[in-house]
Amino acid sequence: MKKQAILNWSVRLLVLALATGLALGGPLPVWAGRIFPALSPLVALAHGVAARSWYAPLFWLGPPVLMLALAIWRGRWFCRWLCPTGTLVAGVTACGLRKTVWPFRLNGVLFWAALAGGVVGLPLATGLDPLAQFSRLTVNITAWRDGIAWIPGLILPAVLLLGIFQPMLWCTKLCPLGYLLERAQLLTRSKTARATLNQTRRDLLIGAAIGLPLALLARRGLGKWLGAAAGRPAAALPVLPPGADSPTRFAALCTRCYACVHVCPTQVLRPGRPQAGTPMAVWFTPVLDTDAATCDEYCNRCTQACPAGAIRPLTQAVKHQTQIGVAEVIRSACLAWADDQHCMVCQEFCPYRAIGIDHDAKGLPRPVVRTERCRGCGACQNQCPAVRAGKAILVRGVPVQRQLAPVPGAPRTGTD
Amino acid sequence: MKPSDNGISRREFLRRALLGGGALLTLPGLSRSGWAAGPGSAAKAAGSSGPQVDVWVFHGTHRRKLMARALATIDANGGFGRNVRKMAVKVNAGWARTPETGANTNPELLDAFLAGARAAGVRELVLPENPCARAEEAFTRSGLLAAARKNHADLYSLPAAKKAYTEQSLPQAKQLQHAMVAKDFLEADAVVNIPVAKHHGGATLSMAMKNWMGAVKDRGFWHRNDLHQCIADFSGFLKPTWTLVDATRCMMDSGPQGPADEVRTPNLLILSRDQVAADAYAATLFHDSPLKVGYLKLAGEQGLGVVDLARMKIHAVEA
Repeated sequence: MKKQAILNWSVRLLVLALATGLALGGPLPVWAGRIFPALSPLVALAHGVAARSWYAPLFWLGPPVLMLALAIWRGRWFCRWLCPTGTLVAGVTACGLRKTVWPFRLNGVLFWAALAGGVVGLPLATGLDPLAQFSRLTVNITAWRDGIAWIPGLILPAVLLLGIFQPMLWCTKLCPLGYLLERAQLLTRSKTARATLNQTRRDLLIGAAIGLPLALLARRGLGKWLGAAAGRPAAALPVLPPGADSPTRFAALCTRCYACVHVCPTQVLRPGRPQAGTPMAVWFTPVLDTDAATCDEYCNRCTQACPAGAIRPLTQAVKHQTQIGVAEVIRSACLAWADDQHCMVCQEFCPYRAIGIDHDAKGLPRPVVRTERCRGCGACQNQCPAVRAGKAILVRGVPVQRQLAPVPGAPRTGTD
Repeated sequence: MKPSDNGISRREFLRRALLGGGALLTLPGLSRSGWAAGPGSAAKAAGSSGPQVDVWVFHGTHRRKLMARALATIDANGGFGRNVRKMAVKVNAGWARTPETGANTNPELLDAFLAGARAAGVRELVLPENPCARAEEAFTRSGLLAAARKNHADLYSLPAAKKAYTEQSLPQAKQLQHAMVAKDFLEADAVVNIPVAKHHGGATLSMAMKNWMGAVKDRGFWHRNDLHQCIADFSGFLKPTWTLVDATRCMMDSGPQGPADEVRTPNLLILSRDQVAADAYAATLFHDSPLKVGYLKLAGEQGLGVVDLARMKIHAVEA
């Protein structure tokens, strides 16, 4: 091997190890997992357009801007030296075949489709961002029991498998981030610009032609129509992580990198199931599975982990007062309401005093939800011991997350 | 909210002790209905006979002194038993709440107790708990993990431990015929129950008998199959060597987790070998009669312990 190649591989493997370590986190601070995915100018750009705002706090906008500046100067230097996904692809290529199984370049179309989608509020293809995908590999560990997590989680491994046949298939033909970095260099290369400009224009037109209608459809309710066609009622809103604001906003800004899922200490955050009856845009976003676990009262890790600004960074105190869902008692299934049992487990476990007690004539306590206090953490649903007709208290998502008043009687609420 | 100090003063405590004539001392003045409405035991006491059970009630604002007096009393009344090498302690470490909330056993009391147990020659101290909140949060926020570590005692989460439970049948039980029970409580040479007394939405009050729900695997079964009877059943099955009810700070509503609107500070520590008696006494801090609590009523009827305050020999001790 030449000296250059040795140097290249040493740097690449080192960065790959670093990216893996940061993604896995372990004892590292929560924001460690953000570092690599937050580098992407593709996500910053498309999401900035979609959110019509600087999508992230200024500090986290610095790295993508630097990346773009680097690309204007050196083109795809990042891809060849630093990108952890690129290193994986190059590794597979090094020991793979040299055939052509996929001759079409789709990266431009994907990039412009993402941007065009962003214009109507849903950047479709940012889930394909290689850095987000690299982070997403963790979900195959964190949520391997949920078969559903494998669908988004195994896109990258599948692409790597294809790379066995064709060298650098992902990087040269598909990667929308690579496309952006490559085209950014146009600005300094006037000689080759004309031909490339024509190609770029074609990419833009095709991307927009595909991206715009698809984004509109997915956002306005492709899933809903599919559900209606299959005769299913509109599904209840999913419970989203605190700081997600609304299902529409969250669906648009989430790259499905699952950094939040990875850092969730109770594992209540899971990749959501695609559901007929919900707009397609929200499919696979992280949601809370309140049957399985509870959103911890004293935790705001997911809000610190999101590299895409889809989950707003909330302080512990703000998170403590954020309503992400509302519980509802199903009286016909309830041990107290229907079976005359002394239960009140929901009231017992509610950290926010959101379950009131209604005594019947004989003094039997029965639960009533005080919706103005319910945060939707799911402690009640998770602990409900009813089995006869399923859980007797269910948490449903809210259209818009809002701030509630502090819990009464609390000597110290939500501060650390 | 600042806990209101509406407990009783030292002078008042002693006055009642004198009025009550020692054996018949009751402290119903702490309940909402006041002194006169008491447990109504004075009248019955004349006619009641049978064995009396000792209940010591320590009063004072200094928790370490309270526990020191309690430990001295334990020592003077047979201690923890012979050759106690391993002791299992059931505290209430269920909630991610700080000590001022009154949702968990007070960590200062536990610290003093564990130090005393060590001094009494106990080699191994284990504190199994099936916490309601996430174990990490509950154990650290309650301050109980720090208290345990300080005394080299092992406060651990039962669901996180391997093979921590063992299947037990409860032949005497009316509802809870089988339960997966924390092994350590069955294998220890001595078992001590140190709960906190507080309001409870489902069980009316949570004290010593209710505290055992943290020693079993499936609490849901209890809720589905007559909670009060299950609590009574289990307290008939697992009888600790000593019971110490922490009534230094009591949540009067919004229990078991709180934070409560009203937190009272009776500044009491209640000690007995009979956990039912300790509970019955502690119940008078909240209600005019222990019989207002379903599981105490059942325990009395089924002879699992003494519920009638007239049958208790109550020693009021100022610490």
